[in-house]
Amino acid sequence: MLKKTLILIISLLVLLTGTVGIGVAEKSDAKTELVLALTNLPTSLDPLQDSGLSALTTYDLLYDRLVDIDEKGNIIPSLALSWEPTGEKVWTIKLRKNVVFHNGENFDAYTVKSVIDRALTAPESKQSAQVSLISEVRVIDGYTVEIETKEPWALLVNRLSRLWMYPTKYFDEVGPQGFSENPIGGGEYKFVKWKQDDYLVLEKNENYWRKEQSGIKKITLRHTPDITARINAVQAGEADMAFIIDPEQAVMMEGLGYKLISQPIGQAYIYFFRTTLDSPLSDVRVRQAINYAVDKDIIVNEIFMGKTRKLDGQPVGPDCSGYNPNISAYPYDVEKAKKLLTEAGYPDGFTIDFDGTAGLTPKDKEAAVLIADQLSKVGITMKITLNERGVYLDKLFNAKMAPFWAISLNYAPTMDAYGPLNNATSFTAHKSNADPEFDAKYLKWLAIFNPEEGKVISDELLQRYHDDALALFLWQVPGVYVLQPNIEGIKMRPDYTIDLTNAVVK
Amino acid sequence: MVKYFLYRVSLIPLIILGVVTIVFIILRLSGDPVSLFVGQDATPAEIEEVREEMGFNDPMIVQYGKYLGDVIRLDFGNSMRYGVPAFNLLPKRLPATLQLASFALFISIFIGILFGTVSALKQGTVLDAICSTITLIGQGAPVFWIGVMLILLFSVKLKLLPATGAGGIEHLILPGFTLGIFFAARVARITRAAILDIIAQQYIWTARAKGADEKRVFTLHIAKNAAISVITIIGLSIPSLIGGAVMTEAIFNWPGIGGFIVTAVFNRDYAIVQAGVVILAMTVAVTNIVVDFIYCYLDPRIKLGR
Repeated sequence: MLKKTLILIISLLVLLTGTVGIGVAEKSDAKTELVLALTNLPTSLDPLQDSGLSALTTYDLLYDRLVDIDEKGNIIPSLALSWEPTGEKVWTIKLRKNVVFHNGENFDAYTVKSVIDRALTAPESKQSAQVSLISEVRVIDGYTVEIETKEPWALLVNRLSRLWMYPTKYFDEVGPQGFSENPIGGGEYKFVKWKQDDYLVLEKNENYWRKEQSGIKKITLRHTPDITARINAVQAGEADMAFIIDPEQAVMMEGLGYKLISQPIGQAYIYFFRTTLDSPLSDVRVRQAINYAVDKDIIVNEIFMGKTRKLDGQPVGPDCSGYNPNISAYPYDVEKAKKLLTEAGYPDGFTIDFDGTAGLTPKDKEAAVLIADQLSKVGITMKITLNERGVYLDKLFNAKMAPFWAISLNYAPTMDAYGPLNNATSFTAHKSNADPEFDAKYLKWLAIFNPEEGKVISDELLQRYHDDALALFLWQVPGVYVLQPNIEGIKMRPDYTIDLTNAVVK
Repeated sequence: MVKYFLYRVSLIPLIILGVVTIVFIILRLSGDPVSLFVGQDATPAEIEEVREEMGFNDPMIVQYGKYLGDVIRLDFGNSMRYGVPAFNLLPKRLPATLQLASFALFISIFIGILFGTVSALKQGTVLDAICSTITLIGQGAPVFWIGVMLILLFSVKLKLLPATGAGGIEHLILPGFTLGIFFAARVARITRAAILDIIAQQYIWTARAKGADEKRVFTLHIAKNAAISVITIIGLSIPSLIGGAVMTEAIFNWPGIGGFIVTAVFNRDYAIVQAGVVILAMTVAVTNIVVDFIYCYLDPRIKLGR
């Protein structure tokens, strides 16, 4: 029997040393190489096939888009040099010349038309919703396109920041599958090799068109969904940078001598009031009182350890193009909160049901408990239900939320106020607010082409959001990144892309 | 034997039916599936359109019937995240899981038998106490804790072994130990108990009284008879090793099927979860049958039958 057991063990060893198709993990060993542990690699390297935020970092290294977004959420030129409305529903866009893709194919107006047409119609396109209002793209000359929309659409150019350009002739030759396996872009880095859900290796495009360029010659992006694994990879020296870690881990890593980048993500975490329900929250004074009764600084400093920022009394941060600098956060003022509650007829407070999230964003559970404690000081009892993601979405889409409920309003990567403003209209499924005046002004804003005029209207909408206290304005979702001590000059942009222009490995 | 084999194989579809039914019920209980297919800003009309299009307005029994029909054709639908048939995504990740589980099995057999034997032969000594304590820790400590501790020591402090990813044999060592250590402790305990039980048997005393040397007594009489219990526990551990790889894969960023399913659960990617659970269930069912037949191979006295 021992011989038989031995045979089994030897067979097992043969199996172990057999060639199982696993890729070799990449390690950086030179001063011009970086290994980045990302939360996720894209599911496809075809930039139309993954619309997730985590894919943007990768796509932005491999491809260029028509417009970029600066740190204040403003649209800035990239492959498009200028854009202007030339009709009620028409935009004319002038394109950059002398840009070539990595295979030598030229970028021109036909590229733009082909990419947008495919984004709209291809079954595999995950970007169709972003550009769904486009009715036609017309090539005017080699470097000018006209984009016509189904209705006046001021946010068209913001939406174009979701479309990365690729060589369409090459794409037509190889098809979506072939392109995803051997992608060719026009960005600062070229494709070298990829193993889905494992790693992606890129190398510098020495013929890149921008004047300011990174000195990093090779980048390995590693798919590392587990937060502990990302930290471990940095501590073990296998990664130079780990994306999105918890605030506690950030403080721990900082204590160990690692560097941090703290760049809040374009997501506003707020608690909505369902003003349409018959509850104490239908009174604006009660809603304002709740805003005064919650100390947002304590939440940011104690729960998030200072690794994010509180919202300035509006559902977007200063990294959003719609941000209104004239609005400030409701100060922490318990006496004023009590006074407002008394005026509203609730001197002893009241009990209110609350639907929160459980792990949908960092620290949401801990903050809910702290906020309940703060509200108890003005007599408001918050009956908390923390919902798992599935249950939460079920309630959201079926208008079954409690009168007081939590939401993370996403405005990345286009960094405009569309999502947060839309959620305060009656056009959403959850219907927390139904104010005809607000709805009308919102629709008016969507149709204003002039950016300055549009900003005036969106400022008014945000002011009303604030004054009517349509929500308890809390914090921006933190984005914390940890780096090896010898890395300098890396910047994370609020739209989830990475700036390596000044990156140095010492 | 052939009759028994056919009987066991015929049970596999029933096992799969049970698994897919449980998965169907649990996933439907965890929230409205339509929420996965629409954005946060979706209007009520858009939500209703998707619900109708995906068949979520049908009675639950109709949805279940359609679902079973699809499962029979191995059509679990397209992955929400990857946009391709979920079933196609899994087979290429299975070898990595089998590789990890096989290595962990080897570790657990080697360490378990070594510690169990030493512990039994040196019963009551300091060596026995050390081995017993280590096996107790191995069985009591959570996998994630062992994994993190091993990484801190061997990857972070000593820089000897990689902490994450897959590649050469060096990438297997830490996750293999982490996954195998729990099962090694179990094998060690059973080995120790089995050897102690056999040592007390009269035929061992007889062998020694006849003047047989200790090496011969151990190999011919003790080890041979203790092996049945040990192989039984090893056999029972194999399915748990494959299923238990989920946590280890996540900690070590191992690109196997377990970590992939965990991510799909968090993303509520129904298609991948369903296809993954069915593949794991099939793997476990087949492994159980193979283990049963290995018993027969190793000890012809055992006869399989209904």
